Amino acid sequence: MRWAIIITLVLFIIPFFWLKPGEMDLGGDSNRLYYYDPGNFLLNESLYFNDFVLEGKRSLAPHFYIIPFVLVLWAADALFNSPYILISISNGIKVSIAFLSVFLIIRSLIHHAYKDKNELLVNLSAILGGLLYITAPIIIGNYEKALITHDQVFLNPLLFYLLLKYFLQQNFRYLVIGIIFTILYSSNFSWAAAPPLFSFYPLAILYLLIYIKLIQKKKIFVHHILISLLLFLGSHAFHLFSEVRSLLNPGSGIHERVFDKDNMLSQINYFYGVLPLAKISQNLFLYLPFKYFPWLGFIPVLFVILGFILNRTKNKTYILTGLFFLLTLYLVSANITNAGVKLYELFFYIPGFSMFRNFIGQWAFVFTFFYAILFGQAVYLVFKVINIKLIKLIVFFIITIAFTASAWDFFTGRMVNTVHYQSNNVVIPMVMNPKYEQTLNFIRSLEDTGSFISFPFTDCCYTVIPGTNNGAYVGPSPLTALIGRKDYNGYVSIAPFSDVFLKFAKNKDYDSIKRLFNILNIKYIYYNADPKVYDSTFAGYPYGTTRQYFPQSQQEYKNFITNIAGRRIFETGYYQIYEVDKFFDSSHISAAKKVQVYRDDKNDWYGKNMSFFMDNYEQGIAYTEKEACVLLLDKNNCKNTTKQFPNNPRISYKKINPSKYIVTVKNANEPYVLVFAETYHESWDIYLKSDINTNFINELTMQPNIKERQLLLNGYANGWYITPDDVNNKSEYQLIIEMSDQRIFYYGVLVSIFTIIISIIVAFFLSRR
Amino acid sequence: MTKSTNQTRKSNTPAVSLKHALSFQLMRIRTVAEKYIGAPLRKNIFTKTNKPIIVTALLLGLLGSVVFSPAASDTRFFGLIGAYMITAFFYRLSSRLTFTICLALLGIMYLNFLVFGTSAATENAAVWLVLFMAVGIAQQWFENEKK
Repeated sequence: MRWAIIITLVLFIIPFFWLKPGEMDLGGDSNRLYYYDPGNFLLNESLYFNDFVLEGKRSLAPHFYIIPFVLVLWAADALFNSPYILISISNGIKVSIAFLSVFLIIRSLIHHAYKDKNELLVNLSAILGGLLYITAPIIIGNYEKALITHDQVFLNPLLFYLLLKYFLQQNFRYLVIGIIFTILYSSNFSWAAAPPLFSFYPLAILYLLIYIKLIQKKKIFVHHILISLLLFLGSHAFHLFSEVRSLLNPGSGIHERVFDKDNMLSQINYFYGVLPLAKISQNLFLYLPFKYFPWLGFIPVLFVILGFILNRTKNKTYILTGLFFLLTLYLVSANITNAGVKLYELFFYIPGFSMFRNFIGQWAFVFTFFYAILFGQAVYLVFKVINIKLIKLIVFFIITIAFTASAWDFFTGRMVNTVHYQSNNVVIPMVMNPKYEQTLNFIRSLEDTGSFISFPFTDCCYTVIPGTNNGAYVGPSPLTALIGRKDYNGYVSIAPFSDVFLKFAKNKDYDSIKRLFNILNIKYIYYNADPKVYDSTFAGYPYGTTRQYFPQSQQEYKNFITNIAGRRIFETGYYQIYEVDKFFDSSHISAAKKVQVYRDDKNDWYGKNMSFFMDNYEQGIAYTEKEACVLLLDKNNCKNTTKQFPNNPRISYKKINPSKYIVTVKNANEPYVLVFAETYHESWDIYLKSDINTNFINELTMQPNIKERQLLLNGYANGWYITPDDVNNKSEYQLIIEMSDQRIFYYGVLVSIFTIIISIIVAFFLSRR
Repeated sequence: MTKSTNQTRKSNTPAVSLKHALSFQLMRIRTVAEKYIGAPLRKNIFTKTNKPIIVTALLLGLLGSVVFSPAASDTRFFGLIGAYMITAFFYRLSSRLTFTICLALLGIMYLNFLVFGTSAATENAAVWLVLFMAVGIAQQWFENEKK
């Protein structure tokens, strides 16, 4: 046991040497800017619904699950004031707890299965199992661009261990500790973590139930499980309520992915696309990580089979683990006979199974876990027949050295200090440029709520920020994550105008680009003129496709920016902020001067968005579907495809928070269409603000009164057709625009707080017993 | 009188668990299978004298399939593994033999992997290995039950 503790401590310390003090690795698809500025990340990215683009369709999705983790980071940041330390601690926890948990699981399983008092034998086996787990390729990969769900590398074994201990000792305290961990790492128990969550926990719980019921023949206390399930659901209510609501909402991206039948077929096609890459042999040899000694890839699977041969007592724990090993091997490789593949295809008709379309990556973690605990037991069975202690120790050290050597690049930090894909030796760890921080501060000081567009424009939704070292951040926009500004920085993020925008850029149609800015309420242009973010440094990714449409170099980009931008309002170093041309200025909330129905005479990929650019530019024009126009205005108004609103009211607004705006309307004597330039969602509600002063609780219960006349305008924005009747024939009044699903979050928070208090009381009484 | 006898019988009957009920049904199926299929098979095919021939033929078939016929075929996979399972049932072959076959399959698979990478031959051997491991695990579970 002492050796295991020493190894755990060493593993915790190792990540502190991966980065140099001051360096950070923050990029990747889901970004980790919370390490850099947890406070602003919490306020701008975690507390409200954010844009979510799925297959060209914009929607809003909740990201509340990250709140507890960022709160803890915020507190830790106050203590250490160093993103480098926060990142290193986080990585240290991942590696060391992963090892320790697997070690403890194997130790516990062997103790209960064989009642062996030879601690050395048990510990050596458990250490090797733990080492196999933390050095397996899937476990050591992706640290440099870790997704929010990457914590599964240690959470899976840790929670498995706590559940195992609970079932063996029937001690409720283990469940409470487990629930505390799940709250802290809520991201791993949210919709964002759906594939890792549903790949591991159902199988792990099934294994434990069979183990306890059939092998240990212990009683399962159903009331314990029900109480802990209630505590779990209650404490996670702050994010689960909104996620369940999104799942059941037919308009949401999550709903579409889970329940849409066409989507299922495309997921099956995806599965068959991935299938040729799935190899049983590679999984059995753990992708042959021993690049210096390939013959060592043989060791784990050899031990597993020897374990079965030497399982003289036919111990059921080993057999059960072997069964789950085979089951997960099938799930991770699929390619076991044609009948096996056909059966796998049928799984995709189960709603939700499409999340496993990339099954190789999704099941790899759970497969590696069962492989490791099977291997640990196999080592025990093999070592048990070796009578000479010295031979056991020699074999132990050889395997330890082999595992360590196989993951040498990981332990030395070379896997974290990698070069950005297709870049000219730009490394992932970066030191933040103070000039970029000045730029962020300037943007934060801007009072207007208009959106940004960032250049150079990327393929997906990334921003490239070079550090003062040879590193760079490549990931989602920090303007959104840290300041809360909508930032169109790539092809995907500018949906549904992605293709149209590329076309305009290619044709140098600057006038249409400015009109697009008007439609999207883009008020500012962020431009990084640094040759290090474009030219030859990032010759491919993340500009692979867009480079074919946009200027080829920063020199040409300057000319492009001059043609589409208005006044430059900020410059430091290479960082520049421009206002857009005032002639094309727009407002976040306004009254449309004219509503026009799409022409449908251009068939681009979105269907209609070329219509916006067919006629001469007019301020205050809004486009909508013919069906919506007929339904909401009236048939006569839509006959000529346009409806004029010459006597529009005066509109001003105040942003309370990203999910709530107060709109002041004056001189409203006729019906009008209110345009709200936020991503369309049916949960954006509008209601008349009461003249009486209301408090937060009153406003939580207010009901919308103009809901049925909500319109999708301009392909992405919200609009409401408001008549004098809706506002009690007043001409001056205030409206509240609110994302009503945000209320679900508030209710969820209350439930979570209540449950956590109950849990603390329960834990207190348990500790006194 | 009848009523009281019934009551006595009811109270003396031990509670039958699901596990026992299942085992009983399995035994019945086995008895029927033994009677109508097993006995003639044991008498005519799975005799003691035929054991070396049948087992050797199966192993040669497996070797041929792994080494000389790398193309995957479900008929061959399930045909041969089915035949092996029937043979293991009649001759009470131990799980150790099955796992020893796995060891040999692992050797072949590994050599293929080193020489040809993840070729069809390697994957074919891997499928055989997985199938035999599955059979071995099932055998070992029943051996434990019997014990």
